[in-house]
Amino acid sequence: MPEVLVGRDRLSEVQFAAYVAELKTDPARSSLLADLLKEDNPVYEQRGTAATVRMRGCILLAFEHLGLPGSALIYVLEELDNGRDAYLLAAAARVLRSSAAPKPAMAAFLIRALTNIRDRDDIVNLQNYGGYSVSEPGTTAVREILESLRWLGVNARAVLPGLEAARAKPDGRFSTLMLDELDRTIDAVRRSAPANESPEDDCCGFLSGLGAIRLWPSSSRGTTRIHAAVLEDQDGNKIKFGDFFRGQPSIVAFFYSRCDNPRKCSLTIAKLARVQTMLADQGLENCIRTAAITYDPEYDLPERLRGYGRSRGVRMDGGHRMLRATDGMGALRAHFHPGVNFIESLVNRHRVEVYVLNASGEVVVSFERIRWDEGAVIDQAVKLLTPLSSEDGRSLTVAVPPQPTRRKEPHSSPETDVSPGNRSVAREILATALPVVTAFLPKCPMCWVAYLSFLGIVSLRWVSYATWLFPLFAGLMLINLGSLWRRGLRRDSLAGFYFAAAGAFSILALGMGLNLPFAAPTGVVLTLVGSLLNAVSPETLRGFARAAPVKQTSNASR
Amino acid sequence: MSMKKTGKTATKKRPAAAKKASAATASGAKAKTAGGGSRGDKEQIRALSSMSGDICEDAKKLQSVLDMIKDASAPLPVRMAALQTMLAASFSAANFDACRPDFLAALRSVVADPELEIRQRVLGILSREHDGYAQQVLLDGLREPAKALLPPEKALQLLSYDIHTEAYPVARQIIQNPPNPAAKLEAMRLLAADAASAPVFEKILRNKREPEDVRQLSASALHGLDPQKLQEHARKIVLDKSEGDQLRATSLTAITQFAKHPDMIKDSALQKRVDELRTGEGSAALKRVSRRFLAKFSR
Repeated sequence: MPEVLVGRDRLSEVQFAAYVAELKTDPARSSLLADLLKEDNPVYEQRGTAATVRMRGCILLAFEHLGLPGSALIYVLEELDNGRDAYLLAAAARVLRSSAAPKPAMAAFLIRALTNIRDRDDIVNLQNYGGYSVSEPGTTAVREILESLRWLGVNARAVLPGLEAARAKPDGRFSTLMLDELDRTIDAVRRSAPANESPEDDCCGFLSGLGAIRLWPSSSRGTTRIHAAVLEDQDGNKIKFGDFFRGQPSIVAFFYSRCDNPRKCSLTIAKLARVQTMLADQGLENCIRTAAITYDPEYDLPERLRGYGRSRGVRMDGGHRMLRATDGMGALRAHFHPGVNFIESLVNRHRVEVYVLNASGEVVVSFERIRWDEGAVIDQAVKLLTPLSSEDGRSLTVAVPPQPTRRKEPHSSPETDVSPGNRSVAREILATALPVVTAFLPKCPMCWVAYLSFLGIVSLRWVSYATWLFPLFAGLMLINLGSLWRRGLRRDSLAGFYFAAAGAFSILALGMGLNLPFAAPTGVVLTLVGSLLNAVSPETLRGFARAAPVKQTSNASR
Repeated sequence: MSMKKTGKTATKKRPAAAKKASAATASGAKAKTAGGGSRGDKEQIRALSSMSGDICEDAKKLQSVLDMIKDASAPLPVRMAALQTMLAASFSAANFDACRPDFLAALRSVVADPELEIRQRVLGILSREHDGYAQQVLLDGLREPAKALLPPEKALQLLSYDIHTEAYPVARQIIQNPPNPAAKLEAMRLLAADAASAPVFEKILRNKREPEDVRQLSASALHGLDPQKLQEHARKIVLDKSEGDQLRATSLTAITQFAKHPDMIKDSALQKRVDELRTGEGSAALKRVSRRFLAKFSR
């Protein structure tokens, strides 16, 4: 079975099920199963949502026999957190019981799943591909969730009061059969440990290890191509990505107006509105931008963006916009790596995702899959602001000015757990080293001539036939000087030429002519400095000169 | 074209799946259908209509109603009444969520029922729930007419309840080669949510050989997908004296409601034409919308 399942040779669902069954039985390749759960995996391209559900259910259930690896746990919890399909929820709840060990933090996800599915429950057959129950008996999502709570036992102690309240006041959402199941669950959790004994809830550690919050290393932070992408806002104003997102940190959420899962897009945009309110409460609404970008730019026209935002309380103005890409959706996808896939132009499945961008428009942190906390997102954005004191002693918040955008390595992808401290040191070293390396690299035929000329001349005196070569190298050096002169005139800066001329004088006249011992090495250094100055643009030089004493600019002055 | 056969298969003949079910219960069904209007059936129907409020509280009662829906040998009116009882319960019963899973499973078991009315009703209910099984059955029927359980226009209508299905390519095929006019209209309604289909609607709107109702539907779809393009075409239609009154009235309404005010005030050719329509021999509807346009945009 091929590992690449795209294009014309894409697998039918029957073939896909067989492929998953094959992976399931091959320990060497079973790790591929978790990769198949990523929404942007090509296997989901051009499939309807129902087909996507069937395929994902099939993958999830494969872990029932293999055991749920840590890399797949996030997908299971995501389904419990915001899923609304009975088959996928039942599969997720069942597979959770195959994880290495029950954790107290899992209970909250199961309770959320119970709330999500109670009015949409269905009989499913987890032995069948697709899970449809037609005439044969099956299970239900609620039953699987309750069974998983029983499996958690003492670890579900924290949610026991909620279960007891649901049993005390049944609102008609549990059948008699399910009420019996609920009784069994409450009893199992109660008997698992005395009331005052509860395992320590390692919620924060558990969640941070899942990958729901990702720090993006600078090597994977997008490309310069993104800045030219054209976006249109809710009022029909067009703006380039770079013009909106550079200069201040931003919080960006993705959504589309036709999303039929209220726990995904609708909730995300409502939460973005709450983020805006919290920013305003902290006086940060002019320091941190917010944006909601649609996955469905062809359908989400400005009026629809405006209506969707307005009905969810989103503030919309110059610094806070609802956006669609009119040109550069590909660049947008390459920049954010959104967890989404499509059937034609329509989304067939997506994850919940919010990004925090720095003042250069690069993604620094993303919150994925699990319901995100507004305060935590704001905290990450605030970290990108630098406090300064104003003249009257008040504390001002300013944005770090945009750094020169670095080109992204092809096919690099974001990784987790990169310490910000290490990142900034590495960035400083890289920022210094790159121009130097660039300056020293020969970039044109003239440069090659220059390199050959001065290197040849330095060692010329040890060559027996030096007198024959001297005129040739001297000529090449003059050609180099001529080229530096011409380029210097174009750049309106002859500093490089002067250094190189001094170098040539030192090598030819002082070294070769007068035979002074340090003249040739000095000449080499001067020529190199000349080349360096010639390679760096005058604007950059002026920028370095200005940036040396003060590194931040005040937002207030903008 | 195979799509053409689809309609006939589902409307005039019963599909293979339905035939099989029908054969199995033929004798019993005949006997009972003959008594469909009997006093016993009427009493059963009356009893069913009174039990919707508490049906989910009694597992036995629920099971008996679901069995009645599934029983292909029972008279059609009784089965429809049982179905109606469950639908009424979904509105009135406070605890319907508790019996929803059993109800949906029962519906899935009769999607290939011998009775078209049952199939249509059941697939309709499941499609409103965005049920993957029902969607798959409907799509299979559109792709392979021999498997069709419903006429193509009905299948397309039910698939349009969920925009996330794989129905767009099939709908485009049906527009190209429709089995009947109703199927073409339903395919167009379905594609009205597909942004990539805007050029298809433009083409139909421009084509004067298309029936007026088809072109009107195109105008409406284009308004949702690419309002700017509709404005361009609407203007041309209003200026074109060979166009019919109905389409001109629709186009002028679109302009009056959604065009930008300054553009319309400056458009003297359009102003002049609309003034002619107001006083000309067109339909009352066209004159009315012309007056509305001039009241809004006259200089």
